[in-house]
Amino acid sequence: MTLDLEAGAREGGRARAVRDRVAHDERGRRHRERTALWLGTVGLGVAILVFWQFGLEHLVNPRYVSDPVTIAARIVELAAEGTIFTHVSVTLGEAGMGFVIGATVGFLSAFALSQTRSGYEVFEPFLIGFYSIPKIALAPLFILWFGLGTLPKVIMAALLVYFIVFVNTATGIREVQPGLLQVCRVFGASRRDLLLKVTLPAAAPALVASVRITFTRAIEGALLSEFVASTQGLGYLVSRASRAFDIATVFAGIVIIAAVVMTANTLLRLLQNRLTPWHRGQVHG
Amino acid sequence: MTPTTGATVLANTRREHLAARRAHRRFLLLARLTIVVIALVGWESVSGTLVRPFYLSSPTAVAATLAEWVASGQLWYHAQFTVTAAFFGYLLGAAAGVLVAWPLAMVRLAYRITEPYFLIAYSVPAVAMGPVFILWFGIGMAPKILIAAYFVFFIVFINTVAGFSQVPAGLLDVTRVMGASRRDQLRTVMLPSAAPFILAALRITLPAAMIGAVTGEFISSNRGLGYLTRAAAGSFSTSGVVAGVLSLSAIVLLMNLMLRPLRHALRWQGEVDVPEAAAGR
Repeated sequence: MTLDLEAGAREGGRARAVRDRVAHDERGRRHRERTALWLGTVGLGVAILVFWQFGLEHLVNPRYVSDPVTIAARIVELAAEGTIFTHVSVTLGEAGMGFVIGATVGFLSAFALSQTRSGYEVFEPFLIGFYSIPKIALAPLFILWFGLGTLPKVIMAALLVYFIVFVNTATGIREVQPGLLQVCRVFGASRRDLLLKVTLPAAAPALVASVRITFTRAIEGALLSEFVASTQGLGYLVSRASRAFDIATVFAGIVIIAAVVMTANTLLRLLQNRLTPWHRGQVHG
Repeated sequence: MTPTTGATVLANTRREHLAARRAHRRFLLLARLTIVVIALVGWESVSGTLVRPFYLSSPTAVAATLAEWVASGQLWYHAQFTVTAAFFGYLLGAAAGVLVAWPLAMVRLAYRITEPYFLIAYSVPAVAMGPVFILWFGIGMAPKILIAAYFVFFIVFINTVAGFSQVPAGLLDVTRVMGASRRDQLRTVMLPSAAPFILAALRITLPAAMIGAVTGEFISSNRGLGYLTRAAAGSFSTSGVVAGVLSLSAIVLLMNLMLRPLRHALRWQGEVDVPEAAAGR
């Protein structure tokens, strides 16, 4: 039998052609899918806005739902007055400070308690108890204790952040594989080495992930305390407008809040990927 | 002298181990009791000496307030509204979460088209919607139910979608090759595989519903435990606020304990960590 080189080349050429065609089809399919996705997403958004603007008033009294154009105009107005920047910076400041305090204290206390096994066990039921407190109910106490200023809002935000960071750090530290610790100890690692080289890197993903998701909680805490009693901030803006039945301003406030939260979340997610790229950790509530 | 057999060694070790465990348990109990006693005694003695009782109240005053609420029936009266709102909010939010997520999870494209909007809505802190619901539905039961449902909806929604999207593609392919219809696949592969996620979400969201109901009551209401607490704050009764907080926490704690068994309901699947934090508000 001789090699039929020509036939082989022909077959090869045909196979290549088939492969190219399949790849081409695949590319086309993916392209069409992406177009459909993009069109669908934008179309849905436009449809919602158009319906809200023109259709909803036939169903419910527009006094209750306002409309996108009015709300947009209201946002522009608030921005032109400059008041919105005060409100945003007040709320962000409260939430940011509470976030930093709550995350730091949460991390440090979880860390301290996890150093001794029975330490954590002794405190566990109390922590579950505290965890069960609807923190909202504490807002009046904080206002009674710390007045109407920034402090009660910061403390509320910090409290909401604290427990989530605490639980996640404690879990992260306790779930370090004992095998790793034992091997390192056998190799002569000091307590400090164990801490810096095993425990912390192992606990870091849970910690970072929990820190990322808690910024929303910090904002919630600040908003909630502002609802209860305040003189400035986004929560104040929304609750005052709602009492005045000014629904456009209420929605303008909500849109601004959502924008702030989404921006913060995006930034924090980028930071998380930067800090712990090796792990996409599970977060415990 | 009796010879040391393997059996006696084992029995001894076992006895020692049990004794050590008992000792440890006794230690934990003692340590916890000590903390409680120190905290209560410290609180009682600080209030009225170092800090004015107006700010701090005291354990006895709080106990007196609670006893008074129980005796006058106020506690049950208000608790009943809060629990009812939380319960219906929970049912509504959970049902809506599963029912909206299910069809979307089945049709990938539909899910990917709507996803950005769900993310936007999820970015609105649930508390910010409170005033809107109250504007729309007044200060009765309805807005509290809706706020509670709003707290529950997104967590259940996200987890249901996550549950359906992590069904192993291999299992789907294999069952299709073996001639399973879409309904068979749903019943035998997709639901069992998504169930742990949905159950986990259902477990963590009942307390969230309770917190949602209280939030609604805090923003505006005329009955419910949230109202009771806020009214106490309005009349500068610190012991009333603390008593309100305590009764709310007791209810949430009770709910958490009641739902604990759900953790093991699907033992063979292992425990599922739900992606978003629900409690701790």
